[in-house]
Amino acid sequence: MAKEFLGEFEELVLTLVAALKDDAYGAAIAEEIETRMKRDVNLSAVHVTLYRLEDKGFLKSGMGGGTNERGGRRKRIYTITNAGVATLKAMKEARVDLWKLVPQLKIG
Amino acid sequence: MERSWIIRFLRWFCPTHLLEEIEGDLLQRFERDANKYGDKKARTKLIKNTLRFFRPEIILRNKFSKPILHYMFRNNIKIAFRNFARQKSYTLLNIIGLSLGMAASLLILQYVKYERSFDTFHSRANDIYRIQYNGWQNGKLNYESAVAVPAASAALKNNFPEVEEYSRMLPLSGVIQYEKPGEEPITFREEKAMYADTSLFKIFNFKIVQGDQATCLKGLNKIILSESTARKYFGNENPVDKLLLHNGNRTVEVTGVFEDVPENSHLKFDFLVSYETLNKQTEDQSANSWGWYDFYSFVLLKPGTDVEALQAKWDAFVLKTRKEEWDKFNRKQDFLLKPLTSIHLESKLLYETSPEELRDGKSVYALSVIALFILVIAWVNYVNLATARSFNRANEVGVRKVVGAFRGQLIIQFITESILLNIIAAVLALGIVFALWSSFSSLTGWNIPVDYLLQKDFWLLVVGLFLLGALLSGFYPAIVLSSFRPIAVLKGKMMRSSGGNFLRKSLVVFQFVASVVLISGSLIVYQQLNYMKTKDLGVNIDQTLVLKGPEIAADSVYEKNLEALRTEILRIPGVKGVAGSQNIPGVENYWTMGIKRLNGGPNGWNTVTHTGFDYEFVSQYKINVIAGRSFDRKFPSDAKKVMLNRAAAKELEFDDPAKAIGEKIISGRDTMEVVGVLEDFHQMSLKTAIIPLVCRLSPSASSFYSIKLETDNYKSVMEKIAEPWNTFFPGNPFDYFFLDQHFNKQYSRDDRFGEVFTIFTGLAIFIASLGLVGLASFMTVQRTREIGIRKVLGSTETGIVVLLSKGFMQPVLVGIAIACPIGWWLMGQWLQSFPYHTQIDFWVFVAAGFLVVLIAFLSVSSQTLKAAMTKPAETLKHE
Repeated sequence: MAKEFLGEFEELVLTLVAALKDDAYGAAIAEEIETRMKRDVNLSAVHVTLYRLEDKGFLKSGMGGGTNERGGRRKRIYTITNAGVATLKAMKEARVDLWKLVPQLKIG
Repeated sequence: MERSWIIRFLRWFCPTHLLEEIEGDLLQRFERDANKYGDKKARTKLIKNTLRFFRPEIILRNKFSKPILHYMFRNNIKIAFRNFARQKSYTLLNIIGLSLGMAASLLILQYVKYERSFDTFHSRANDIYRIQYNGWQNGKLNYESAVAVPAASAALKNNFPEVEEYSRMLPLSGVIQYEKPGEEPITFREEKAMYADTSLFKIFNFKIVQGDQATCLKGLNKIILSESTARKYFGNENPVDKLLLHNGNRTVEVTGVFEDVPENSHLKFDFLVSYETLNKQTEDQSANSWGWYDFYSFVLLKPGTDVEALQAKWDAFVLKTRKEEWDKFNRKQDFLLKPLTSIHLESKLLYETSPEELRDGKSVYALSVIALFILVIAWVNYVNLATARSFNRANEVGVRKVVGAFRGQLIIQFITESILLNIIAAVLALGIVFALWSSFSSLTGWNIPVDYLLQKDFWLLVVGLFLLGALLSGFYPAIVLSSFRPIAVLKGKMMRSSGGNFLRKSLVVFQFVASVVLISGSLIVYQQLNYMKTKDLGVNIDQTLVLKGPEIAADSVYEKNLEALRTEILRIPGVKGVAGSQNIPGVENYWTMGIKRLNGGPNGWNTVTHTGFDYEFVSQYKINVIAGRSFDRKFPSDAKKVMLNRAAAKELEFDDPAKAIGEKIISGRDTMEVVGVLEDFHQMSLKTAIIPLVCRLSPSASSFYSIKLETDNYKSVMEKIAEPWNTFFPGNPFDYFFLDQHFNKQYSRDDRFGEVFTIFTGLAIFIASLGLVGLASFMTVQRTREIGIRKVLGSTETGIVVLLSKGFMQPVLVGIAIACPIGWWLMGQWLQSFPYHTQIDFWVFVAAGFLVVLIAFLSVSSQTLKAAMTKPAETLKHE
């Protein structure tokens, strides 16, 4: 089977799902990206990316408990699968390998 | 908040299984934004955020699960190909039928498109109108002519602001010479020339390639020529400013060159001569006359003009200004604005520019109907074969259903098969079209440009036919096949439904109705063509060579030389006679004048055609004299006498032709006595009616010399004539032709039509019989066991063939019975469009029916015979 590649945004969302653990759901991830990465993000873009990652088998999901906060609506909580972790790791290692090829840059 | 319209919108488009989390996330975000920016801004943000969820990934999520769809599609294709491979002959029959049908209809539709493209290449083609001239005499319509009086178009332009431009053209012919110092002059007789002025280029898009469009036709004796004509005379020299000699006595200056007139223009010309030249010769008659009608007149209207309103205003104008003049002669003139683009397919007037090129619009549309028929016959084949074979696939359908296939999935599967088959057929059809294009184009008699095949609408047509075919022919079998109930099927209790059988039979009936109508149609087309070509014309044109009269000769010696030439020709062995005339059969009479009786007869003038011929003409052409006598050298006073044809005698209200003899008539400015009445003979093809004709005596100076031969060796005769010709009329081109061939050229387009009709009729029948072969082969396979048992019990082979064929012959016979009255009625209508036409014989339908029965029987028995010949041991041992 052809190897699935991840786009930049996909990788970002996947990493955040891994990082947020039990609190990984659409709105939270969007907010996390906004605060940590200082970049504007579309709620719908996050949702669509989550669905796509789930289709690819890197994530699985289940409905969480309801809260009063959001009009009583439940959240869909995502967790990373083994395949997802493996892909993330592989991508990180590949990047590090490439980074090593770059002549040492001195800042300043 | 939850009742906001935007949330309702979200609930409407969002799939339910995603709705809760998305709505929750949106609300959570709204609450956060409300704290941060305030209620109002948060609200706009909510709307924006919600709208962003309106995207296919959300809306269509899980509507079609991608992987499943993908596998299903791949599986469908695989199954389809397996089925094709398993049923090779059946697949082949379908593909041949479909691809031939598609190719045939693509070709025909391109031909129809070309016929409809006439005169449409002008950028403002829809604003251009030709003036049709109707002449009325004594309250009776006398003629409908494509040429009008020159004053009409000018009056239109000068009195109606809706008219942007007008242009008139008068045809001329003659011998053109290019004299190069020190060389033999280059000489040709030119027939396609017109007097015209520069307004022509403002109306039409004929392109000037050399010279100035605005001035090239200004002044006296200016001429412009087409590119190919320029090459003919000047080779590679620059034609502009060169001098040409017209009829040996007039020098004209070349002031420009235009692009050759496209084939799909109803106007065709190689030369244009400045209109001022004509005005000078005719003392402005060609500018102002309300009586001389030899002019093709065109007007360009402002875009969006209401033509009917203009016509009404114009009619009132003509009535007001012309009434007084009309009343003097008890006549009336109509000038009708007819769209330029309708000329080629609808116009059938006197004096059309190239009457032999005009087409009957209805016949052209009839061809498109044939195209559709052929295609439908091919689709019917598919439907019939697919449903007939449904029994074979019942098990497959049953198992699929048991395993859990939905009916929709099965329908998609069967439609996939028809789409695939149609794709293959479409590709093959394209191959056929490209391969046959040039031969098809020459079959139609036109040079249909190849780039028709590269145009967008051709490809749209291909895709359209393909989709239509795939869906129309695929849908019904898909419904039938997918409707089987799995329990019944798997128990083996599937019965062939009599309903499907009935539909199949009706479709076969339809195919054979179409076939019989087409066969009888093409038989009648040929009968009519044959009738026109063989009917007694009232004039004998066999064994006649026509020599075109000399145009270049000094007046002083002309008559003497002509007489000498005649004597020389008569001396040649093999020549029976020579007759000179102003016109010959097959060439339209342009010479028209008003005539009336000196005493009695109708009030006012009747405009009729005139011709002139010498003493020999009537006897040599074997035209019957029904009263009086022909011109005779014994009577010197014959120069002031005329002969009429029967139609002219009737027009002048002589109730008996004999009563005309000795009466005086006024023809133009001359008063002349009638010496004889001729039986009506056909001046033109049988597609036009005989019109009144007045014949004057013209013993010398003729345009045509008809030489009656007694020998088949015309070449040696012509060689012997060429010699004295060159001595007496040096510099004149020696042009001759066989009269019967020339006359029959008028039918060449009709012959082409007949051929095209027949070929596609043949195709239709071929495809229909393919279907029959397929059905027969399938049904005999179904009954193999039955045949075996019958043979064991002593049935003969003939008995079995008859038994098996009976079922097929029944719909064929019904088809024939339905087709006969339809064909009778349709072809009767078609024949009515000819003034002289053959009667429909009953044998045509007998022949067509017999032919169809024969073809059907051969197709069916090719299969049934095979089954009947098989040894019963072979078929029964499988039990």
